[in-house]
Amino acid sequence: MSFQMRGPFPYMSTTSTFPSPAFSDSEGLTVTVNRMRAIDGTLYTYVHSKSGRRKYIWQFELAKDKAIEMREFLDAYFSRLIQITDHLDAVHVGYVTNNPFEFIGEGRANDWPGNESVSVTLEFEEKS
Amino acid sequence: MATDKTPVWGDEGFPLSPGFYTIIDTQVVESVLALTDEARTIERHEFVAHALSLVSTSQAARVKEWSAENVLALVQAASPTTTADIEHAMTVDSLVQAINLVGDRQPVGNILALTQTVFSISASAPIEHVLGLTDEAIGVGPHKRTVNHWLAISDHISTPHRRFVEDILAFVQFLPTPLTGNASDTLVLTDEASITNLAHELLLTHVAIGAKLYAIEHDLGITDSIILTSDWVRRIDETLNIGHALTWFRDNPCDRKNYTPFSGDNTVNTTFAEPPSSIPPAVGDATTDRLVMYYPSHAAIARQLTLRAPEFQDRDRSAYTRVTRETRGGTLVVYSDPVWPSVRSLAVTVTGLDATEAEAYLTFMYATLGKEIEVRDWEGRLWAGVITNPENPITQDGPGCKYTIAFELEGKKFETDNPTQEADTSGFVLNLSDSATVVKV
Repeated sequence: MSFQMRGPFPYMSTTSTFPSPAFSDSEGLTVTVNRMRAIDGTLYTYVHSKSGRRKYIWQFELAKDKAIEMREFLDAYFSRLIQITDHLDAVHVGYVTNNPFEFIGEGRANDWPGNESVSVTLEFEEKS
Repeated sequence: MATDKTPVWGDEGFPLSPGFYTIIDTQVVESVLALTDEARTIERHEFVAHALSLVSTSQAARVKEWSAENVLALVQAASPTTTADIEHAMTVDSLVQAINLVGDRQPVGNILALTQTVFSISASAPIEHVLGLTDEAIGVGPHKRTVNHWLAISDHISTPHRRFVEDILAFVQFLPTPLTGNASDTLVLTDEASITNLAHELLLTHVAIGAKLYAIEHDLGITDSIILTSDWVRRIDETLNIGHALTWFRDNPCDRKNYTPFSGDNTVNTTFAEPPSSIPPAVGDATTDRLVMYYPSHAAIARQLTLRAPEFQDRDRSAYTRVTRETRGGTLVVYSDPVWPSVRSLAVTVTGLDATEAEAYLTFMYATLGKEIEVRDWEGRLWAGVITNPENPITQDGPGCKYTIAFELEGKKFETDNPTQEADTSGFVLNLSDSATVVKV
């Protein structure tokens, strides 16, 4: 299993492969439901389904060099459609939405390229 | 000197003291007087006056007394009535030193004013007038707040023609011959400023005025230099790559750690910029390099601060400007123009600083408030930007070397090292390639 980011969609000029994200990854709907209660107690709901789009949050612990690769990838395609094949082999097309991207130096990692571990969190929303 | 019992009258007809008769039979009289005058008291007195006056007089055939009296002064007079040689040299050294202790931030001030005058009734004799002046102010301490050093020199020569010249930081040399004479006045001034923003102005006025002089030599020598400690020639690279690549990749766990972006499939759409296919070159060694801050940016260094490498949890942030919208149907649309700004920032925390380093950090922060600085990080990469939180305090976490600082730099990071100091002749590079790469599947 791996985590693959390709962009820009659909030209797919660049492909980057990353290790699987850490646990505590999340996947959720982007829908909103507004509740309105009438004076007689009837509950009305106003739903914005957003076509069932989903939002994902992944946190990665990367080698220093791989973190640089992700930073360069995001720098090139932060506002472009990208395709992600996640660690579950699910394919998503959408945008990374978090801002800013924060790469945090976590500690030494002698056997890893760059000799340092870096953590980064990605927020991704499907296009539709 | 000879004496006898015969009374002798003086030249003016006054009798000399009884029992002492002086016959002048030599032309030179030497009188050496060594005198130590001291006043002490073991009782309490409201006022103690102590003055030392020395008068040395040599009487000639025709009495014409010269006298000089002064406190802490030496006047030496010889008897010839028409000429006299006066040589008067005085050197005064005044030295004030102060150690700038913690909590004692008063600047050191040292003002020495010295006026030395040689006055002669007759100008026919040579006059040697030497003024030796040493004025020095030294501030000792880790931080020199302010050291004021003001040197004023006033050199007067009064002539029979009442010529009077007074100036500060000027050298005036007169040859006050009444009718004829030559005046040679050479003034050499070297003003050197080794600072970054070179505002180097040298103003010099040199005037020689002669009313009844036959010859005037007026030599003005000026050395005004501006020396740049470095001369950066910006690298101009223009690389044109035209390529067509077809790439497969094999997913390998090791590749997930290495920098392995694969670019390929097609090159149809050219409205985007691909990320680089190779990692930016490492220009430093994280195990040995320090965190060095320079000011100003892109110029000769005027200020420099070196700190130890920061702690982990350093944050490299990339913030972009983009518009996010959702259509009525819920489709997400994101747009960003390439010219819209993006912000790159670096947030670090440095611990284990001693008091001197922490104070130097604050001094550097204050001196560079709102100004662009350069930072060479612990990996040797060069940043240029502005410290956005200079108000962030230093914190003493414990005794000894336990100061902690934290700051955030907002700017940009150069993907390469410093602009070279030598002319780069690589210039324009055109690469044309067409390749097909197959990675083992």
